[in-house]
Amino acid sequence: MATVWMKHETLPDQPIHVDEKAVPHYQSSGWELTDAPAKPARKKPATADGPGEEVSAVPVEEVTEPAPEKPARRRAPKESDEK
Amino acid sequence: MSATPITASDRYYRQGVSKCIWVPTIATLASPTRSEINAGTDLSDEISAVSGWEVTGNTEDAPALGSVFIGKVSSTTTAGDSSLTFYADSTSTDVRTLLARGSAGFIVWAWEGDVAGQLADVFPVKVTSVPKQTDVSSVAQLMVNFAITREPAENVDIPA
Repeated sequence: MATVWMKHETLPDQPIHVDEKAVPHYQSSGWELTDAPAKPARKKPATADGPGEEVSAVPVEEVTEPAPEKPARRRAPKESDEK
Repeated sequence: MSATPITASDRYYRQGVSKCIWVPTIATLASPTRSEINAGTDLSDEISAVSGWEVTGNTEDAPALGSVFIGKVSSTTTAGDSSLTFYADSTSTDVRTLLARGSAGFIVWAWEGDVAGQLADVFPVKVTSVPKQTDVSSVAQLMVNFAITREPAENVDIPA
């Protein structure tokens, strides 16, 4: 079953997804063919630990901090050093 | 002194008055907007029969050892399977293409007409089947069967 998206000029935020064969009926009620709406952002599911949170559809570039410089290692004092 | 009688009704006949509207999108079930209703399709002129469209409240028995009377407790609410029967078109240009099996949307019953301020029922539905009525001696008709998918909104105000 082929389907299409339609929208109505008085309901711009409420597109409908209908069978292609139903298009003439809807056109007579003022509906027009339109592109499929953009996919909504994915959501992390809610868990017992807390509510879900929205995840951007565009992958976010991970920001990495430079590794901290290693402190100079001190040589353990030897008996010979004390002499 | 006696109780006040209920307001007398202005009685009417449903044929010619009631409207059945297919609305593909309603954002808030209990308060459809005028734009949403106007973007729907008025099915009334093609409907030849109606069945269902009733919300039923169920009950459970609540017997008690101390009494022989079995009381009842209200429990679940259901809406039975419902249908609309339409006339078929001799060129196949009829409700079959608007309400094909699997179509989801809303049936708005404006029982006293689509008049602002009066009351309507809104049923969220999905078409389950569209069988042809095969009686050879009557006008060709199609039955559209619906599953009522969620609790209907009853007696909502028809918007201006």
